[in-house]
Formats: sequence, C-alpha cells, structure tokens
Amino acid sequence: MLEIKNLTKTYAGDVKALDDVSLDIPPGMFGLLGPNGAGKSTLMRTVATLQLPDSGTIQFGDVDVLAEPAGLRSKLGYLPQDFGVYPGVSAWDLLSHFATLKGVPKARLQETVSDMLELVHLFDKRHKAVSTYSGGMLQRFGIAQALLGDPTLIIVDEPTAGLDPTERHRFNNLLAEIGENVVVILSTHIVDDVADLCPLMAVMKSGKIAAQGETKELRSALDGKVWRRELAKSELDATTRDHQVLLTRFVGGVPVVDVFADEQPRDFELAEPEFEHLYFSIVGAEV
Amino acid sequence: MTLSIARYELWRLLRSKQFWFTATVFGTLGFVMMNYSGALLGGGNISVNSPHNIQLFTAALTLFGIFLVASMVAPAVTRDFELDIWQVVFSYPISWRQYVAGKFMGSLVAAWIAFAFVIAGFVAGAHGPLVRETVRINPFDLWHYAYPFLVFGLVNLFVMGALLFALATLSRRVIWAYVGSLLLFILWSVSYEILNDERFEPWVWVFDAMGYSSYELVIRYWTPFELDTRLIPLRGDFLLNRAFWVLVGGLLVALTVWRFDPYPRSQRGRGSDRESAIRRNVRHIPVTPQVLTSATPLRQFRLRARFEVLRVMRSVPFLLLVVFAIWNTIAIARMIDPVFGSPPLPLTRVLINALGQSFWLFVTIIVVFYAAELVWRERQSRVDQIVDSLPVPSWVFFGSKLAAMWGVIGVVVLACAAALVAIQLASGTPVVWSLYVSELAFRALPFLWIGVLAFFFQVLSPNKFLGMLFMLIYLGLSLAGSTIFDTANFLVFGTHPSTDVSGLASQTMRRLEALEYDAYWAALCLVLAVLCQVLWRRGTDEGLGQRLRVARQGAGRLALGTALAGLVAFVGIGFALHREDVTNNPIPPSENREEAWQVRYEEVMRPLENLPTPVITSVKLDFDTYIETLSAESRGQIVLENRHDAPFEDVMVGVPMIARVNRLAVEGAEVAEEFPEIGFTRHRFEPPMAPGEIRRVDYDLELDFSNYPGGQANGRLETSGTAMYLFEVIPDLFGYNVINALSDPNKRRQYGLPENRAEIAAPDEEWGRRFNALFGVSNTIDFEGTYGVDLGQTAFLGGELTRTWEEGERAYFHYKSKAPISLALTVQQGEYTTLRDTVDGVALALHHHPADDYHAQTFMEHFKASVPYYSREFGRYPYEEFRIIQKAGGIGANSNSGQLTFGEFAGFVSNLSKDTSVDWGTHVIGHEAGHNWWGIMVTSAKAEGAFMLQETLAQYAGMILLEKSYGRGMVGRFLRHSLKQYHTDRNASNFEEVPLYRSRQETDYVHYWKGAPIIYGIKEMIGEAAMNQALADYFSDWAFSVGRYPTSLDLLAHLRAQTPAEYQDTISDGFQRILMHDLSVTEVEVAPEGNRFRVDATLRTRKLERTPEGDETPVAINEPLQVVVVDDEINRSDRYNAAILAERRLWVDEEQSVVTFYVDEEPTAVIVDPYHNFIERNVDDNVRRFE
Repeated sequence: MLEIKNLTKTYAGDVKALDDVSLDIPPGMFGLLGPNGAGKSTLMRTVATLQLPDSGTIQFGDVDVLAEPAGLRSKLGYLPQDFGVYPGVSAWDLLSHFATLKGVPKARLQETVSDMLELVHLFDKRHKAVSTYSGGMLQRFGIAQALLGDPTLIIVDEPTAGLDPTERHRFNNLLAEIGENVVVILSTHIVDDVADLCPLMAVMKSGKIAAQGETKELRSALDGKVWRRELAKSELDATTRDHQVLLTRFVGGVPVVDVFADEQPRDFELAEPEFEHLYFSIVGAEV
Repeated sequence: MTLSIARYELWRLLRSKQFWFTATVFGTLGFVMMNYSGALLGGGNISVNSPHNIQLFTAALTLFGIFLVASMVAPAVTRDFELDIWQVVFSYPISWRQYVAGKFMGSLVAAWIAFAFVIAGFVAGAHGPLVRETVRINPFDLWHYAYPFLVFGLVNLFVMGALLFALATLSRRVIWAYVGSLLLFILWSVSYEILNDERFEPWVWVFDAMGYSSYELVIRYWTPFELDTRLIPLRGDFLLNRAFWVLVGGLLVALTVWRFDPYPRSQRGRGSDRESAIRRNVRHIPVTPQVLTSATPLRQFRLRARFEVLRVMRSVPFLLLVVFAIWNTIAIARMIDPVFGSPPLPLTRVLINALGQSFWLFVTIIVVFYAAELVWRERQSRVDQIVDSLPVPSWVFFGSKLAAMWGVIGVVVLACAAALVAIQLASGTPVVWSLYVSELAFRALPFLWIGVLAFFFQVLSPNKFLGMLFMLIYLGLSLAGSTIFDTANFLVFGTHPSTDVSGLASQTMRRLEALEYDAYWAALCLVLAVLCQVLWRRGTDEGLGQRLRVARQGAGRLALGTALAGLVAFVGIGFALHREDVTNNPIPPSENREEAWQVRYEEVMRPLENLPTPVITSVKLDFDTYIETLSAESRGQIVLENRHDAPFEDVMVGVPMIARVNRLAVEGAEVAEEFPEIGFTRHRFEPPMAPGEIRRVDYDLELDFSNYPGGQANGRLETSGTAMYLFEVIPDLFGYNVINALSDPNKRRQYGLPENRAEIAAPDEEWGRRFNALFGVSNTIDFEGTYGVDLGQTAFLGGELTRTWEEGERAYFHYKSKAPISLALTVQQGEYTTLRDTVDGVALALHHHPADDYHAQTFMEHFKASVPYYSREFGRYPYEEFRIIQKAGGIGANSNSGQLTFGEFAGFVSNLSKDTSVDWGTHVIGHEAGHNWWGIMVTSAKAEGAFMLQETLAQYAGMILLEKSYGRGMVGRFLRHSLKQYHTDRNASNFEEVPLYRSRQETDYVHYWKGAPIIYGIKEMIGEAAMNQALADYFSDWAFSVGRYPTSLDLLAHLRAQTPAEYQDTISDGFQRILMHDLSVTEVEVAPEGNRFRVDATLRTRKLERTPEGDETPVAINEPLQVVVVDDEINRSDRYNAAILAERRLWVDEEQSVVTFYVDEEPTAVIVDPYHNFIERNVDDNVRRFE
C-alpha cells in the first residue's frame, strides 16, 4: 500500500540522511527502528509531505505522494517527534480547530473532539491551555490530533516518549487495534514496542535500510547464535576485540556479555535470543 | 560568570552572518545620510560634518536602532525558551540572574558594535572618496564623532535595549518588545511635537527617551557658528535627560534580573465554553469520516482567518497598540504646528492633514512587526509540522494571515479615526463624516500593499529579523525617496500621490487619479501574493532553494496564470500611468523634471538678464474656465512699448506648459527660434521695434488642468478656491524672470549653474535702479478682462468689477482698472460667502469659504481699520475696491492691487480661544494690505535690500494693525515667535546671512523674521509719528515711480532723517550689522518702602557680532534697553498680558547693571526688552519673578 522506492536525501555538508531507501509497507503496523541520526525522522517527514527527497518515489495507494502532496495529506495522521502548540489555546479549541481543518463535518465536530479527548484522558483538562501541559499530556494531545478523522496512513514518530508506563501501554493497545486498511508507521527506539506491536519492521542505519522483514522471522534468524557469559571488568576489552558483542549489561552488579556467533565461543553459553539482540546485531552494539 | 555568559552571547551574535549584514546596512545608512543629506542640509551656513549634523544624525538614526535592540537584545533570553534550551541552560551551575544579566550585556554590546558602523559610515560619508567637492567640510575630528556616539548612540541603545529586553524577557514573548518599540516611537514623536508648545518645554526631558528633542531644545538658539563648532555640553536639561533615562534603563534591567522566573506559568486557555461536551466512555479510536470537497478550502480559510484575527486582536499587546494608536493620534492632533502660536481649529480637514509622516511610520512599523509575528507564528510555537501536514492548501495559511494583517491595519486606522472624531466632538467642531470615510480609506490603501511586501520579505527570508531588516531597508529607501530624492510614485513601492485636503476644493479628481497607482500596486501585490503562496514554508525544507524546487514542482496553472495576469496588469497600468503622468504630462510629477525645466530656462533666458525688454503696458484677458472638464480658454491682447533708447531686434514669448496655442501673434514679428521644452519662442521683429513704438501680442490659448499627477496642488483649477497667477494663463514676456530659475544652491552646484540665480546690484549701484525687483522693466498696467465661470462660482480679476451677467449655465464678470494696477495679478474663482463694508469711499469685501466664518467678522473689522490708517499715515489708497479672497489650501497669502489672496489656513480657521494666541490672520491682513503700499505702489529696485523694502515694511504694517487691534502685548507675542522663526529658519537655510539692508529673496529669514523686531523696535524708540513720517516721505518720493526704483538706502535715509542722534547707532546695528544680543534679568529684589515697593533688578547685557569669517565676537555695548515691572497677571496668563506697573528705557553700557523702580502695586516680575526690540537667542531669561 505504501511503496517507497530509492529515496535519497543529502543534507548540507554531505550528510546522507536517506541513502537509496526502499520499503514496501502493507496495511497494518510497521515498526521502524534505528539509532539517533539513522534517518528515521527524515523518512517520516518525507512520507508526511514535509520534505522532498533528492530522488526516489513514494506511492500511497493511488497517490503519487511527491507529485501531489495534497492527495496524501487528506489521508494522513501525523505525530511529529518534536512539536509545540499555539500558546494560550485550550485543548478543546485547538483540537476542534485541527479537526475542522481536517474536514471533520461540523455536525460531528463536538462528538469527535469530545471522544478523542476522552480517549487520551485529557477531557478533564480540556479548558487548560495546551501550551501549559506537561510533557506527557502534550504528547497525548499530539496523539489525539494525529488520530482525528479517518486517516489511512498514520505516522507516529516516537509516540510514547514521555508517557508513563500505563499511558504507554494504553496507547500501544489502541494502535494495535487500528483498522485493517490503515498503514501505521511507528518509528521508535523502544525496541520492545516494535516487538510487541509490529508484524513487520525495518531497521535503519546511516540512512540505509539495514534490515527489513517480518519481525518474527528476523528474530528467529538469531536462534542458536546468541551466546552469553559473565566476566570480570578486566576482560571486557579483550572480549570486545575478539567477538561480535551484541549487548553488555550488569546483572546483580556483575558484567554479562552477549555475543553473536555461528558456533559456541569458549566459556560462553547459549542464550535465548531477545528482540534487543536482533536490533544490536543489525546496528552494532554500543560498548 | 556573568561576564563569560556575556562574552558567549556577544560571540554568538558576532559569528552570525546576519549581524554583519545588519551592521553593513547601518553603515550604509550612515554613509548615505552624511554624504547625501549632509550635503543637502549643509551649505551656506553649516558644514556637512558639523558637530550639529553628526549629533542630529546620530540621534535620529538611533530611532532605526530600535531594530538593532529588537533583533539582538530583546530576544536574547526569550530565544532560549523558544528553542527550548532553557532547561539545559539552567542545568548548569549558573544563577538565573547571572544568566539574564550576562545575556543583556552581551547582546547590548553587539548592538553597540553594529551601531558603531553608523559612525564609520558618517566618517566615510564626510571624508571618504565620494565626497562632493562643492560642500563645506570641517577637518576630521575624532571627538566630533565619538561624543555623539557616546551620548546618543550608547545611551539610547542601552535605554531602548533595557526596555525591550525587560518586556520580552519578563513576558517571555517577543511581541511585547514590539509593543515597547512602538512606545519608544511614540515617545520620540510626542517629545518632538511638544517642542512646538512651550508649555511643555520644561517636561521635554522626561518624555524624550532618545535625547533628540532635549538636544533640539538646547541648540535651538545656537548660531550657525556654534552649530558648526560646538558639541552639546553635558549639563543642564540635556544632562538631566540623559541621566534620567540611563536611570530608567538601569532600573528596568535591575527589575528584569530581579523578577525573572524561568519556570512555565500555568495559564488557562481561552476556552469557548459554549460547547456542551458529552462525555462518554471511549475505548476505541473514534473514526469520523473526513469530508474534503472543493468548498473545504473556503471553510478552512474562514476558520483560519477568524483564528488568526482573533489571536491578534484578543492579545494584550494588540489592545495596547490600539491604545498607542489613539494616544499617538491625539498627540499629533493636539500638537498640529501652530502658526505663530495659534493652532488651527480641530476641523476634520485639519486633523486629517495632520496625519502625516509620523502616522505613516507608526502604521508601517506595526505592519512590519505583525508580518514577522504572523508569518513565523507556527514555527515560533513549533506547531508547524502538525499544521503543515494538514489537508489545507497553502493559500489558506497565507491568505488568512494577510487577512489578519489587514484587519490589524483596519482596526488601527479606525482607532485613529475614532480618536480624531472624539477630539472634534469634544471641541464642538463640525464632523465631516464623508471626508473621514473617503480620506482614511484612501490613506490606508498603501498600508495594505506594504503589508503584502512585508509578508513577501518574511516568506523569503530565513528568519524574521532578516525579514524585518529588509523592511527597514524599504522604509529607509522610501523615506529617502519621498523626502530627499523626490522619487516618482511608480518607483516607491506602495505609494500613491497624495495631497492635503481642503475644505474649499474637492479632492475627488486627484483621489481617482491616485487610485490608479493603487491599482498598479495591487497588481504587483497579486504577483507577490502568488509568490508568497508558492514559496510558503510548508514542512521542513525551509531553504529558499529547496522551496523554489517545491514551487517549480507544485505551482499550478492557476497560480501561474494569476501571477502572469498580475504582472501584465502591473506593467500595463504602469505603462499607462507613465504615459499619462510623465510622457504626456507637461508638468510631470517630479521635482527632477521641474528642475530640468528650470535649468533649461536659465540656459535659454539668463543671457537676457538685466537687459532692457519691451515694457508691458496693458493686458486684455477673456478667460473662461470649465470645472467639469478642468479646462480653460484664455484669449486677449498684451500691449508692449519700447521705452528704451534703442530698437529691439526680438522678444522672447513663453506660454504655460499646459497650454495648447491656438494663436500667438506678435505684431510685426515672426517666429525665429523655438524652445518647446520650456514653452518659449523667439520672435524676430521685422522691422525692429523702434524706441517709443507700441506693438501688440494677441493670444488664444487652451489650458488643460485635467492631469493631476503627484501632489501638485498649486495654481490649478479647483472646485472652489482656485487661485492662479496671471502668467500661468497668459504669455510671459518678461525676459529672464528669476522666479523661474532653480534656487537651491546645492542643486545649482550639481547642475553646474552659477552660484546665484540672479545678478543683483548692491544698494548703492545705480544700474540696479533701472529694474524693479518683481518684473524687471514692466510694473503697472491698464487691465481689462472678462472672466466666465460655471454658474455658482464668483470670479475675480484685477481692477474694479464693472459688470456681471449670466448666460445659461455660465456667469460672467467684467473687470477694468480705473487706476493702473500691478502686473502681480491673481486670477481667482470659487463659491464664497461675502462680507461687505465701506471705508473712506473704498468698497471692502471679504470672500470666504461658507463654513469658515469663525473670524470673518473680526477680520473685516481689522481690515476696515487698516486701510484708513495706511492711507493717512503712508499715502493715499488709489483704488475703489479692496477685497480679501480665501483660496484652497496653504497658510501663506499674497497681495495684488486691491486684492489679497489668503491661504485656506492663513487665519480663517485659527483657534484664537486662548488669550495667549497670536491672531495670525489679522497680522496677515495688515501685512498683505500693507504690501499694496510696500511692494505694489512703491516697487523696489532690483538690488540687495529690495526684499526688506517689501517684506519688512509689510511686517511693520501687520504689526501696527495688531497693535491697533489688540495692543502692544499682541505685538510682543508675535515678535517672540518671529525671533524663534528667525533662528530656526536661519539654521536651516542654505543661504549665508546678510545684514537686513542687503537682504535678498533667498534670505527670507532676514527680511521677515529679523526685520519684524528691528523695524518695530525702531518705531518704539523714535515713536510712531516719526516712523510713519519717514515712511510717508519715502512713499511720496517713490510711489508709482516708472523706470527708476528705490533701494534700501533711500528708506534708511528717510529713517535716519526722522531719528534723533542717540538712536542713529541703533539703526546701524539693526539694519547694517549682524548682531546678537543676550539680555537677561539675573537678580531681582523687592522691598516695601512706605506704601510703595522698591524694585532693584540686575541686568546682564551682552552683544555679539558675526564676522564675515563666521566667527562671533563680543562687541562694546551702549544699548537703549527697555525694562518693565509687571503684576501677577504674568502668572495667570502670559507676560504680554501682564499689566505694566513701571516702564523705563535706559542706556546700558556695562555687562552688569542695576536698575531701580518704585511701584505702587505689588510687583511680580521684572522684564528686560519686553517687546523684543533686540535680536536675542534666548528670550526666556528676560523675565525674572520675585521669590
């Protein structure tokens, strides 16, 4: 449904934000992972008609997004990674404003706004200026405006940033039940969210798609290839040098290292692959 | 810590390209100001880079410095909140206070550095390679540049910076800084305006945040020599002003540092509580179908427009701005330039005319700020990504913001209108609603176009301050264009030709013409609007290159078509306008073209200067005007006589540039050469015109007044109040007439013309007596004429009215001179109310605009008093009629034989309600009626001093009438203003000062404003009878003299003959030297002695003489000073209304002297020289009250 082909974008200073990115995204939840600066937000903004690529095409259904951005905007729900609001405007007024602009008919405006505010648990605070909301409340307001109407392409960039665990789960659950004909792109660096929600995913690294496919399949590729051991701090350098380290963490104050290898390295034991292992096997571990 | 924050802030600003760009713009501003305006202002009396000019320019440019502080200082802290990095900032171990103080210091120093470029620009402008050789330049003196930078530059930027910084930082919204900017602007214009009203003088230092008006106040009476050499001393009111505002600035900074609180404030949204929200349990994402049809954009536009407009109008800054607009308007209206201390009544037309440049600037500044605010609103609040991805066409965003901007303009203009109407209602003057509607709508139009331009700049520029800077450049250029360069309206974006409104003449025709210019700019605005729309920032590709790419890809046919249509209309209208107003217009709307005419005229005609020409002895004129078509026909005959002793080979004949010539025949002559570019032809006499011979010139001209280009309001056919000189409607046969030549000495230098436009004889050179100062060899004529006008109009020509009749829709007036009249003849017509009276067999008439009857009766009484007095004292009035006619517009007046033309605002609409007002109208009646004796019956020779003989004596006539009508106090009041005017005009003049008896046309400040106190002072000393005897003797020698004319030496001889020996030196001082007196009462004591009071007053007397080198040196004194003791009426009214308890004129020959009086009543003050017999710079210290 959303076909992205050969997108390339170079910023001033020869920073390649997108390097020949191609993705084919069917309806449903699609997870986009990657470290900071990998080009996720550039890709999101490009799809959301806020930026033009240097080359490449984007097709959403029968809309050529780059040629007729207006065609996409009428189907889009977009939550930017970082946003603000007009100062001094209440949540009710602002959401009504956005809803009207999105084409929500007057007759259904009140009901839509009221339901949406209730959905994101802001109904009680609807008269307060959104500009005075706390980070989490503002994020919820952002989610509400992105979901207004009947968008068939929902792009949410780091939607759960700043939300407390309860709200995060609620939001994830909401996303999960979005209709079948809707493409939802969830860009995040919370690896578990993708694991839990998205049947399909891609990982970006340095402007490129480093891996894409079904989440389950990608993970199962790691079966029998993740190995773990506890070690002393002094051994860390040597281990990093000799192995492809996926993850280093402390368990009960003792460093535990997980490495990737086709065969069992010495002193390592087989470990159950976690979703994080998948992520780090693609983008490289932080040491 | 504070210092390192300051250093960082400074460094951050200095690293930005924008800083250097801004600095360069300011440097250029300084350069242009010094190099161009300096050369224009300087000249005869002051050097281009005189300390005065440098100080004035520095102070004036600090007003532009508001931009520097608004863009650098004001947002220094607010910026960190907008970028949301404040939390990071405060995670470092710095205190808020250090942070705020550091930010202020750093950014202020940056603004100072940028402003220093102005000074560098001055230096380059005055001493650089592009300096004109023809201007006067003082040698380079660093202190002359550094001092103004210190006392104006640094201080003003500090004060302005502190205010804007405090407002922006404490409110954390930059818009408050804009409000502050307007406050500063208003303080500036108010403090400048109140200079016109001396009641406010003691308070100027409080209002004057920039020191500009305090400066003006201190240097007001400085001589050109002082202005050229001295810097303003840092003491007195000026020091007070600077110190006060530095203190205010310091307190504001302290307040900001103290009250600053970085944490977000809770704020309730302005919720519409109308919604009856039904709350229900929602478990799933509610889905509402989006309905997007072709009607949606319009709905979105209405919503956005409402949203934008309400966001602006409901904001506190906007409400404040409206309050400012009202305040500004009231200030403007309250301080309309009074004419000699009496302001005009607040009539609708007067108030509308008062909304001049300061109003234009005020609204334009609002436009500049709101354009920045509106265009950048989404980005500033970081809601842009959400809004930009909504299914809304870009034109909706642009359009709704423009609607908000235009709404702002509309509200501000309405607020001004409301303020003006309120002033009128309060003062009970009639409100002319139709004029408010049409004129304010007309005057608001340019703001709409400027609004689009401001948007366009904001759309183009990468940030709002750069966009504002572009507008600043536009402002500078357009101000320079209209005030210095006289740029045609085609070339100054958004402007249309405008004229003052008149109560007599309808402006409709001119406005309709001017609206063509609005159509022209509207067409360009359409193009700009399309560009704004396609280049609108949509998304995060904000670079102009990227947006151009998007635009190329996204611009639809509609946009392209609209832009193309706009462009075609713009070029088409522009072309048509150019053809109509420039190419096909004989009198183009530009001074440059007029100058070209003048220069060519001088080239062709100057060789004839001071050569005899045939004398005009009689004129016949049949004149018909048609208001509907704005056309006229002029037919008749001019009779020439050769009174010279040799034959004339040829004669030059000119016709008005707007004339179509049906017939122009010089008897016995053929056209030998044509100069169509100036409308002249050389006719060769065949045979030559012999001495004593008479020849006739027959003419038949059609005049087309229908073209009303830029701002020409003079001498045109009006719906009422038309006044045209005779030679605007008949052929010109004078030879070289100096009036037609270019006067401004700087421009003469530019065009390579000789320094003086006329070669004038010295008073003692005999050859000058062969020509008169007005018309060369011609002077009085026999006149006969018929004037046909549309029914309802009354028409006036020279001579006596012999017959009137009507034919269909036309009325005819036949005039014939029974005694010869002057060639100075004004053709006038209009719809009038007439007052009539008779005195000594002379029929008096006063024709005025029906609505302007405020003082008509009084004027008639005074007119009636003047004619017999002059007849008795100077010489007999020779005509049977004497009339005054009000014309449309103007504050001036002129005099013809038996007919005086009064400018619309020359007294008829003065506000004389206060007992301290000067009745300017009565003075003008006396002055102009007096010209019938001094100028018309006695015409002076074309020699230096000619204008003293005309104007100083007319001033005398005016003052005598004031004295007879009101008493000496009124004359004293008049003379006080006269002295002020003398100082002001002299310092602004391009012409070097000369002694009164050698005054030329160009040194008008000498023969009008210095002449008045001198001539009245002599009268006070020698007495009215002696004075008038001298004048009567002079009159009887020279009245109606033909072929030989008097010089100032003749008058002086008669004057000296009537003057006792003791005052002979005083006459020399007044007429033949350039002197300045400094008289004051330094101490007074009063003590009761019996039932009387003894008064001792200490006088200080100084006298300075201006040497030819421009230096001023004290000279010995021996002055007949008048000293008076007055009662306490001086405290209730003014010094001129106070009763005089004792009066004495005594000779003073020492700098310090004591004079003693005994008075019966309790005295209140002592005044030296109460009626201003001496030329003084400061007359305020002439009074001293008892403790």
